[in-house]
Formats: sequence, structure tokens, C-alpha cells
Amino acid sequence: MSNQTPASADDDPRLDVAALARVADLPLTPARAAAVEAVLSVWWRDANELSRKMSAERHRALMPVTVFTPPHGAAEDSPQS
Amino acid sequence: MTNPTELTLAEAASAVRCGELSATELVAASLDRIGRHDQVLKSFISVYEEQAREVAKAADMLTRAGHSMGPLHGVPIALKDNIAMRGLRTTAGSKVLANWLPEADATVTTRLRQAGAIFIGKTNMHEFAWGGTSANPHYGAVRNPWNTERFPAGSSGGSAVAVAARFCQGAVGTDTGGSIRLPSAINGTVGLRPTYGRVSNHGIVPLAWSMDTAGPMTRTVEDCALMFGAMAGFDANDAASARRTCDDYTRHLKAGCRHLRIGIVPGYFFEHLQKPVHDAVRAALATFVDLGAQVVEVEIDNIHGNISAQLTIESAEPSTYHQRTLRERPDDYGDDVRTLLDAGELLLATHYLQAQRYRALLRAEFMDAFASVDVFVCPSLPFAATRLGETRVAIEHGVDEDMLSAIMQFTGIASLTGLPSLNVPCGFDPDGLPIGMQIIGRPFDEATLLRAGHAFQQATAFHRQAPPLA
Repeated sequence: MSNQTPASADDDPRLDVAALARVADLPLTPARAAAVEAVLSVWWRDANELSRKMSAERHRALMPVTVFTPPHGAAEDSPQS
Repeated sequence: MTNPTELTLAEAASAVRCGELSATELVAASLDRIGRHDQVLKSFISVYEEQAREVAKAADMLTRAGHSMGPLHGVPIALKDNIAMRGLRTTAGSKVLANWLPEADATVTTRLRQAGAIFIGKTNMHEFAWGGTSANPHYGAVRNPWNTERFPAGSSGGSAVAVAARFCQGAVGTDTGGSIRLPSAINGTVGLRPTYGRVSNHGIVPLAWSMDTAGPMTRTVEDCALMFGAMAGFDANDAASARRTCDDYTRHLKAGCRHLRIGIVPGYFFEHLQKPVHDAVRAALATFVDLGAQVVEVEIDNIHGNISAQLTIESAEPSTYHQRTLRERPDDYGDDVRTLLDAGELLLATHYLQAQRYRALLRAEFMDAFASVDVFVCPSLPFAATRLGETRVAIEHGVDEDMLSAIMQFTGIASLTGLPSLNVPCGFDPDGLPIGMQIIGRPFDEATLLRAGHAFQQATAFHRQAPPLA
């Protein structure tokens, strides 16, 4: 691979799962890291593809499906909401 | 008289109401059948033998006094074991919650109890509902009653098996990515994933908050409508509960499906699936046409990508819920669920949010499509029951695929969009294994799904076949 071309997960699906787990403060043995890598190598590739699709200009206005729901029965200006 | 376990929920409720059959006899027949067959099928984690008999006696006293608790009076119902029952062990299929005794009922438990249901037990499931096989490492692998060497799907595998095996007239399941519809299809039963927010999740151990639902699993669509009517409705204890009046789900059940416009997405619904599944769902569409419905081809431009979005959301949210326990008690999780929880911690926030943005895109496309169709019909999953223990599946000849991704091919649509979806049995493969289709509808329009499903069952006999238990 050229030094000038940054590698991506799509080019090289071997992920450093152990390093990622350290960042997440998630203890993983080498055996468990291998099991997780087998899953993540596919998930990351597909998630990156979806991210590229959703980054298209035509989707710029889309909001994620995450909402803040006021507690039922609380007034609009209630401090809990 | 017919063996009470053979009665549908509607028939059993009517027989109890009229005094032709006592709740005590009905419960005794259920318990007897569970005792004879569940050593092999492992559909229950807990069976409430003594309690169910006592409640049945009380129900019979009420009946004799001329009272009825409601539409489920005296009928044995099972709950998936991630649904809280006050003072009774609720494990969610896990070792982590093996000794959890909830202090209060879940809202669905309360509502079903108020409708007269008698809880016969709690059903086995995929650990914490995170998986589609119901091969539970702590309580045993649930087996398919049509062929005990085949898997029952999941995660509500125990609930579907309990209904298919005639252990009870109905069961409650939960569905995040397909966990009601998949085992319903694989075991030849009916299962409804309601509109997100229609049935309260209060008191149910969560999997993925933004997609979790609970719904009825039964033998017939009529039974499903009866049970759903008892479960649905606003609940102030659930922040995502919808403040919306419920329909009477049995009122228009027999109105048929003349002029119903059924949407299909030809480039997705009938691609990449086993031939018997393809043929059964195509034949079901022909039946609908015979009943006066119209099939309309619709393009959903962004339908591809739904499996990745679903896996991303359905892994990031559980990993958040389990974050502390995964660090404190990692060895108490089964291997497969632990791996999925580990993996979900290592996805990026941008992956998660792009997946949530994709949901908005997909929902908008389906909502636009509902201007020209009333429902969509598609397979529930692309294959029939695989052998027990398999983690890969061959959908196209000679190509093995990861089961978890493959099983979500068609269920992710309703899970991501929040739309209601009903599984209805629509055939059998050459090995005699059930095949199911989904009927997907507009938000809060479960009544139309139930009407279409009931019309289909009046014209076909797939739901009348029972698994050949020894």
C-alpha cells in the first residue's frame, strides 16, 4: 500500500480491536478480541458504506430518529421536560 | 368434546364464558401437555403449575357467579421471560438476572391479567433477546415442534413454540429486530409487532430502546386481535407510549380485503430467498387477488442498507444498557451475546447516528408509498428452519451466509420505520417446515393488518395444521 494513501477498513478489514477496546475501557482477551474482530470486520464495512450513502448532499436535511420525550403529563415548561 | 388444548383462544374463551368448559379443565390440559412435551422442546423457563390452578379455580367461581374478567377470562397465556411479573423470577433468559424477582408487574402483565388471562408460565428466549436462534446457554436450546432437530428462531422462540405446540392459547413476545415475527414464521403461528409506542414497554427488560415492542403470538389472526386489544393502549409509565385511542381490533375483522391495495417491492421482496419461501409468498399474493385485493409494484429506492442500519442500532443500544454488567460479570453472559455486546461498544457514534438518519429516510419513503397502497406483503424471512446449532445458512445454492444478518433481511423494514407488521403462516417447504409472510401497514393501522390476515386465514388452512408431537 502506498504511503500516500490512507488505509481504510474497506481496504484492510483487519481491525485493531484490542486498541479500540482499550479506548472503550473494555477488557478483552486475545481470544475474545479475535471473536469480536470477526463480527466487526463485516459490520464496519457495511456501516461505512451506509455512512457514505447518508453523507450525500441530497440527505443533508435528514434528522436522526432520536427524540427527547417530555414525561407524560408534564407541562411544556416543566423543569423535568 | 375436543381436547381443550386444540381450541383456539377465541374458542376457549367462548367455551369458558358459556360454561361449556371450565378454566380449571383448560389449565389442567395445558399443564398436562407441557409436562408431556416440554422436556424436549424447552419452551418454558418457569411453569406456574400451582398458581395457575388456583387462579383457574377463582375464574370458575366468577363464571358461576355470572361474572367475566374480560375477553381472555380463564384462558392460559404465557409471557416471554423478559416481561416482569411481581414476585416471580424474571430472567430475560440470562444468568445475570437468574434471581431477579420484580417488585411490580410490567404494564402488559397487568393488562392481560385484568382481561382475565391465566399466566401458565414464562417462556424461554434468546439470552436478553439479542439473537435469533433461542439457543439459550443457561436454560437449554428451544426446539422446533415441527422437527425437533430444527431451530425455532427467536428471540421469542419459547413463546412461538408454546403456542404452536398447543401448550397455551396465546403468548406474549417482544420484537426489536424481528423477534416476534421470525419465530412465528418458523413455527407456523401468528405474531404481531405493533406500531412502536402502541403497547407499553414498561417493566420489560430492554434490548434496543428505539426499536423495542411487545406483541401477541397466537394460532389465528382472530386470537391475535383479541389479545392485542387487551394489551394495547397509552401508558404514562413508558416515555415512548403513544397518546392515541386504540381501535376495536375485532370490529372489522371479518370485513374482507376487497379493494385492498397490496404493495410489493419486486427488486427486494422476491430477491435472495429460498425457492419454497418465494413460491409460498407469491401464492399468498394470488390468494389475496382472488379475495379481491390488488397488487401494486412500488419502488423503495433506499431499501438496501436496512440490515446494516438495524445491526448498528441493535448492537449499540444493548451495549449501552449492558455496559456496566459486561465489565463486572462478563463470564455470566453466553458466548454469542457477549461477543455481540463487545462488538456494539466499538462502533462509532457516527455509525449509530447515520443509521438513525437512515431510519428517517426509509420511513419517509414508506409513508409516501402509503398514498398508493394500504399494506405491504413480503416474506418474514428468506429461509425455512435451519438445523439446530447452525450459525450460518445457505439461501442461494452453495453460498453460506451469517445467520444473524440473513435472518433480518425482511424484518428490519418495520423495526426501523416503527410500522406495524403481522406474521401470518402461508405455506410449508418440502420438508414440512412452516413459512410465514409479513403484512406491514401504516402507523397505528393494526386493524387493517388483522383484517387482511383474517381474510387470508378464512381462505386457507395453513394455520389449522399442528406439529406432529409424539
